[in-house]
Amino acid sequence: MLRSISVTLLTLALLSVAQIEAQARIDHSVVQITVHSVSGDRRLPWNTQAPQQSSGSGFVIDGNRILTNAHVVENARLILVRLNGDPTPYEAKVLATGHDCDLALLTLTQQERLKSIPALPIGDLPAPGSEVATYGFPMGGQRISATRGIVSRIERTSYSHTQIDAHLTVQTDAAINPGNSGGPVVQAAAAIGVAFQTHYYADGIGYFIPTEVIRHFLDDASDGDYLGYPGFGAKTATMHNPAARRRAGLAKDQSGVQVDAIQVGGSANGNLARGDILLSIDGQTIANDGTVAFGSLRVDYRVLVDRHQIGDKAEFEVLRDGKPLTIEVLMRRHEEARYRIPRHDKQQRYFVYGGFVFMPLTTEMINSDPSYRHAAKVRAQRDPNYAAAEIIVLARRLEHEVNRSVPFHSEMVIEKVNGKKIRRLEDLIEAIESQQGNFQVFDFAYAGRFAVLDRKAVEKANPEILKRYGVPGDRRL
Amino acid sequence: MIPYLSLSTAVSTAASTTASIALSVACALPAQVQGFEKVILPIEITYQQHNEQRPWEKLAPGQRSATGVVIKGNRILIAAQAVRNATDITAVNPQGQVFPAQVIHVDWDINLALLNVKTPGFFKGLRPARIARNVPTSGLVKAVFWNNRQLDYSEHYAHGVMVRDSRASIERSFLALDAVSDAWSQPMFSNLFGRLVGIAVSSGEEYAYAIPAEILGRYVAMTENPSEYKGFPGVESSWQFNAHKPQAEYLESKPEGIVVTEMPLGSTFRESMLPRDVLLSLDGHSIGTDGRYEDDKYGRLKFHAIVGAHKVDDIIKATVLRNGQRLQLALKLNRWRSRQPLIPWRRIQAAPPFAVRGGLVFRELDGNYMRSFGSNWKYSAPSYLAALYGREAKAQTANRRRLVILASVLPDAYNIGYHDITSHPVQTVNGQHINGIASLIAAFESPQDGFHVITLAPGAQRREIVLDATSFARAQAHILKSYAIPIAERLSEGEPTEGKLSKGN
Repeated sequence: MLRSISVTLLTLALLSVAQIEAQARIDHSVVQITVHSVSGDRRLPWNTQAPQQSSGSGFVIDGNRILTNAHVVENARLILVRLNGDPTPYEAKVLATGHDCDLALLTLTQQERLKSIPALPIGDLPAPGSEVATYGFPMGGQRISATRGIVSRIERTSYSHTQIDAHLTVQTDAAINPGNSGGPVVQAAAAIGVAFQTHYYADGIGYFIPTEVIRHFLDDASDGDYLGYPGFGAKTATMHNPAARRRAGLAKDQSGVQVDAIQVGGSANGNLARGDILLSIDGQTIANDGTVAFGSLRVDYRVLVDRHQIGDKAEFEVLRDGKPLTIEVLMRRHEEARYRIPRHDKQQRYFVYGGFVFMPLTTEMINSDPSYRHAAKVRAQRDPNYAAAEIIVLARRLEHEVNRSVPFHSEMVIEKVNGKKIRRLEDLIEAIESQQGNFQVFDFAYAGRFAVLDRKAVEKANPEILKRYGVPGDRRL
Repeated sequence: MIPYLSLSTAVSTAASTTASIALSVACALPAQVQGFEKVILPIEITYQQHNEQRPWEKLAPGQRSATGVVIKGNRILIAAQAVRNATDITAVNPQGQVFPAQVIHVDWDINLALLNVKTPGFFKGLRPARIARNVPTSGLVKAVFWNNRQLDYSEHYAHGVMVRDSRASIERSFLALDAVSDAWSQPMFSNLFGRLVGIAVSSGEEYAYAIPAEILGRYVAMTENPSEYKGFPGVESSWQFNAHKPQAEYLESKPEGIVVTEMPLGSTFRESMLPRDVLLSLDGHSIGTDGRYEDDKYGRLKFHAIVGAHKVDDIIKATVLRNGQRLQLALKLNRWRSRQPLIPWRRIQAAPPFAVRGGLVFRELDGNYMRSFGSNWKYSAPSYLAALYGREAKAQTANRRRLVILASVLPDAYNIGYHDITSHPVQTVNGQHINGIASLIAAFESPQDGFHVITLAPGAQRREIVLDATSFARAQAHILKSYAIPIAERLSEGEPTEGKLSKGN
């Protein structure tokens, strides 16, 4: 009896020592990241806003690298990292940034300083209901903070950083607050996620990026050139309704989702077609609600699309006009779908001509300005390839004699310049610069409105307009 | 600015102690309102709006009161907005007795209506108002009105005539006044001769706007023979200034007139003008580069007032510049109806056109529906629809005269998979283009190989909805019963056709 108690105590003592050591490793691997950043001025896109200071978290992983969120180091001009127990701030540099998955990889300019820091191993997807701990520097502070919670949900959700990307995400009730971003979520002494966002309208709902996404990012960035996630470029609809299934020719033991739209430039373009029923992906049956088996869970089939890197092939079983087909889809970057994401780490594209300031709309502008939102939504209805084109607006007029009495309205979306359809800012510049006639004619998308500039007068006035309004260059592309 | 004078504060007036005279109390009226008790009447209206979200239902009834003006022929002139959605209307005679009143004519586009009281002897002791020929452009006018069955008045400074968007969403002339507290239907009289100079119908923080006497007089005259009533012409077009010299040169003109850029179906300009015509003059009036002309009586007004001074079917001359050629056009003036656009700002009829099919609630998109999302509807309504309203309201084509939306889905096992679809335009049903609620109802009569196939416009969360046509009738009956829907559809009274309306008043 006495012997067994002492063994138990010894075991507990050893366990406790192991836990303490593990805790110390975690504490040492978690770093505080202070970022001095400069972002662009949306209204005057050649300007920058005042420098800002913000802080986030990160953690050391193998290879003397630090993993954090892309949004933590966005637009950084100086990144300083503080290590546990070391009062010296160390300058860091970015090795790779994945804005589409909100992850970034850093190292210190004095890289050897990281050699003595224990690297946190990357773990696996946690089980729903299992306990996790988050580490980081919420609301700044000098000392590391840890909170505990459980895995509440695992599903594919939107990543707010770009506003257009969605990947596998884990929801937890462990407190995640500003400053936690980039910090590790730990289970069994391994990082099983990166804390990155919370729910805007709810308490106790925080999200972290799971290892599925982290590994995709690290694999992609391993050659020093992060290419990003491929874009599927097919919009699909669930097939819950029995009539819809029958009309599509699905047998009773078959299930799938229907391709509703194919976007220009996406991986599906040229391979899949509107009306196709996607029965399976990479051998995994797709249910009528669009989910596939994922361990003990069911997740959106696009999580399996996400497993591919650019250049991979995904295999789909497809029902087309009632006939089964196997189609390999070469995964490629869907640049056109990314035209409207905010210009991370880069300033806004613009072109100034005759005092007219032309800019492509970003999701940020669309979401913050109802008139731009309306313009974008109407364009979406008119144009099935809406996503594949920029929306160029005449955002501002720099008053000058050459444009003084031009009728000016809000939300002037450019449809054509000199009769040429405009789908990118470069199209607009080309249409203007190739014009030989006396006039530059701008057709707007609404109410038949148009504007005319005197080409020769504008070309003469352009340098003076730029100088007068402090515009350093007529364009940023 | 002359301050607003209400009776409760105008202590310096002769009727300094009280200006409100109870109908049933025989006492001397203050000088300012003496005699008006024989010219204006309290009108009390019970109204009931339709539920725009569940268009087969009506909302709880409400009450409003307004002031009617007695006009010749034992008729009562009132702003039409006061009797919109009315379920019961009563008029109160000078003795305080209440009698039922009936709408005998209404023009929603000009916002005027006529009432009658059939009770013999009702008009005894009343006399018709004298309608002024012009409206004052300065000085004070007097609002005289019934307020809780008491005669009340206030004085307002007149700011002249302005052309602005009316409740029918078309530019019309209004008499602008200092703000009025209750502008549902408030008659305005000249201070000097007590003639009716306008009926106030809206008020902002700064100005109130009254339908001017000229329009009142013409309406009263035209309705003497209601069967020949043609309404008022209006000009509906998009246009822009022509002050910018390069733009003018590009159009082979000088900086003069305005450039017409878009003309919706049924508008006066559409029949003889082309986009990018430069409108130089209208009915002999030169149009400035800002779209204004010099009105003989009211100064510089927007050119819409020229048309508003004419009758429907009048022919007026227009001078336009087209590709450098000066053309003289004869424009036949159309009656522009508020229900004319693709997305009408106001329906002519009270009840929304809709159809419930298999639990899918379809309806025609209109301003009434948008406003059901609250006063801040531009932001609170589904942004997609707000966008369509803002940009596409007048963008009809011959094949696109009404926009039908799938407003909501009443969840049922029959329509499973589609429960979360809301507020999106319908493109086709069973392969047939949808042009209005009638075309949608007709299209549901022709299923495709045992299915009803509904295609939504691009941008929808899903483009295609498939329903089982073989079990449709059973499901339809079950859903109507389950959701207590008494009628499965309501047609619009009149869908627009090119240039004029097929039916309706």
